[in-house]
Amino acid sequence: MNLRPEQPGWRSLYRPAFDRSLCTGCGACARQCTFNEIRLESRQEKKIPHASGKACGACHRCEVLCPRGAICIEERPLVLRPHAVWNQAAVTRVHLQAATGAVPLTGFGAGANIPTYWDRLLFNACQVTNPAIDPQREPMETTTYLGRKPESLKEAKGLKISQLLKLNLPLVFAPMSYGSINLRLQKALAITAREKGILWYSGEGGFHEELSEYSDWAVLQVASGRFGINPAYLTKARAYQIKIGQGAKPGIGGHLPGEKVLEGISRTRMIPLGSDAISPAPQHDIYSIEDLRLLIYAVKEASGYKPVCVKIAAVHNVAAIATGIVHAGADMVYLDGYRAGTGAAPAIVRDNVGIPLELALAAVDQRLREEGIRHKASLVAGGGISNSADVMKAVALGADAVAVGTALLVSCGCHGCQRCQTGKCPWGLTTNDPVISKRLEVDWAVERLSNLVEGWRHEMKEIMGLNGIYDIGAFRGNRLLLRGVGLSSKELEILGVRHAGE
Amino acid sequence: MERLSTVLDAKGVDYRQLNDMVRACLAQGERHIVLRHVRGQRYLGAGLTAGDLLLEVEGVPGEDLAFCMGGPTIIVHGHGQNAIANTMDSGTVAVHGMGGDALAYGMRGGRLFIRDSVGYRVGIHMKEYRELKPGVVVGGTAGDFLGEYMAGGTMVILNRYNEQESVCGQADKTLATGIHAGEIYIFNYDVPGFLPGIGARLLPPDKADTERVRSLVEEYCHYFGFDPTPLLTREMVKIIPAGSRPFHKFYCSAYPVHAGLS
Repeated sequence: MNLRPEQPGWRSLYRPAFDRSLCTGCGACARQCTFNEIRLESRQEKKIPHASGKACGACHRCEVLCPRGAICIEERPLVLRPHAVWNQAAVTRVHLQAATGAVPLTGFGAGANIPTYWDRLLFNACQVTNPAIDPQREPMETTTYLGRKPESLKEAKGLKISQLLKLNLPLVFAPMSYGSINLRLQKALAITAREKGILWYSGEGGFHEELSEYSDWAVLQVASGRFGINPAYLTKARAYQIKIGQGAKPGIGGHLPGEKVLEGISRTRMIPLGSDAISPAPQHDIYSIEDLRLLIYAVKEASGYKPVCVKIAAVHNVAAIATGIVHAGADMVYLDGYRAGTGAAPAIVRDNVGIPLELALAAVDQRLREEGIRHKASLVAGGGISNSADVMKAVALGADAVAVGTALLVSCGCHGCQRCQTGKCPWGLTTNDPVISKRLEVDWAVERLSNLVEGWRHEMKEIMGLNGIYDIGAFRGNRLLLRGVGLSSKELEILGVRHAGE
Repeated sequence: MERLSTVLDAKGVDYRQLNDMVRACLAQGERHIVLRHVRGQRYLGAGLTAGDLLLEVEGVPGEDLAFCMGGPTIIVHGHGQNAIANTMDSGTVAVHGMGGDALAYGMRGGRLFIRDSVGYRVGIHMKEYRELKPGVVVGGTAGDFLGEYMAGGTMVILNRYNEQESVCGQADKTLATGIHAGEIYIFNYDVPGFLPGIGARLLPPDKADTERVRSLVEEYCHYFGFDPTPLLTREMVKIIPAGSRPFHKFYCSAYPVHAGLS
């Protein structure tokens, strides 16, 4: 590690530009910037903000909070001779690594130019012969049940059937641990999930006692580091999730650096203050489907047979893996796609590993149907879901519920500066700094999150209605509702979707 | 008045039913339960929290014995299988025999005593928190990947028969790889230099270490009726983390910058 921003040549690729005619010198921008991009210079009893041009990452915090609207974030591209390979991203990465000899870490979801299939899929709509349904006038059924469905009445009355989870919408809040985000945000997620009758996932960072009243809507995680897991943890939630992989970094694990393990996090994860929280991707007690089955049933046995979900990243053999997971006894399979967000991952992994969720989801749903075990587990799909159409396309491809993560952060102010790993999130989201995290007010976040869910709910019902469908169950796995545009026949085959015009 | 123990016959009983039977006995206030003819039933003691429960297992319990257990004492009269004391929070497990693989995974507190040898991947992710400090004593030897990512607690490989090879694994750099807290003690064995993995280092024990190990070994001996003195007079080495941040220099932040030649 040898980063020296003070050296000549070091410059940020963005910079706040100040409109001096509007600026009153109030200094709010300098106070808001957590990366020290802006300093104030006193001139004739007036404070004038200056950009250093060394640290701006386009978080837009100063711009949004400037009371005079005097700031505009500008791009400062590294002007290079046009080259197909040695573009800005390639050159800056090599320089950074040449300076550090380390693995560059980043946050957020993969930004590489890989096809987003959601944008190549279009919905059908009713015309003439089959009437559309107006969700403003007609009741629309969006209730979703997650979990293993019994095959017969006899089985349903049997010994130990895990309870089904009832959701008002086919939507869940993706796992984000306390540590990667702060407690205020997690609390806002929990409050909103309860209010909306959906689920929130804890991530692997344990379960803070302040959130215990929201445990009925919580899915708590069991990951390789086993943070915060004790007998009480395994009884209080609605369901449990065993994390095998993450879409943002398949094949590698979590690592919360020691400096972020502050008092609250230490207590919740049950690890000493300031110690690294390492949870590698390999769960060293799981080397086979049979081993996974052991852990699934261990969690069931200790939790009184609550539903157990297994989370995996979307990778090449995902269909076969998901099949194994269902055979191992999971009640839900959580598929995390290529574009899933993260609090910290090596950039090289985030952008180069895993496959798009759309293909993985379609392949898994298809394989589970072919094996006749689709009813044995619900599919939850997440990773790069940015609007309600994505949600409904995922449902049509076979998801029982769809997970959103990054969209929630964005609704609370995030502008995608992708520096979650620094712990300095200027919006107070992915930071546990006691001062910066106060920027996020729980009530405000709840309002924003609720609004987002409401907006999406309306749109989802609209999409159902215009397809002439009033029950989400008839939408699920109904690939005839979709048509592809500009896709190869192989892509269409995997998606199980016909081309537009067919 | 002394309570009588409850004896349950596990012969041919499915593990779910057996665990239900144990829980039902507990609910009725029984605090000494003996399970006879146990043949591989899994998850015995999983999630149980009665600190005054003594569960005696006769036979061979299945995997995940004492998974996420908080308080009870389990004594196994027979060999154990894999994943004993997985994510255990507190309590004691003593096995009169051998243990399998992946024992004490993520164990945060309590005691695990295995009379004889254990398999691979023992003590991975063992951790500690405040008053919770897990202790594991293995009477014989252990396989590779001992104490990987260890984050707390004390593990003792007693090497009772004074083996001179494969006492704590034999593959290159597999011992305590990624250890960032906690300690491992190996008795009467010259640990080869190639064994410790990234972040682990070998040191002679100091006086406080010796005392800590003594109390653990005495507790172990109490369960199996051994004399601790001859065991404790032998040499031992300590394996601890080289630092609390084994991967500190591995990463840098990918700021959106042109780093120039800095």
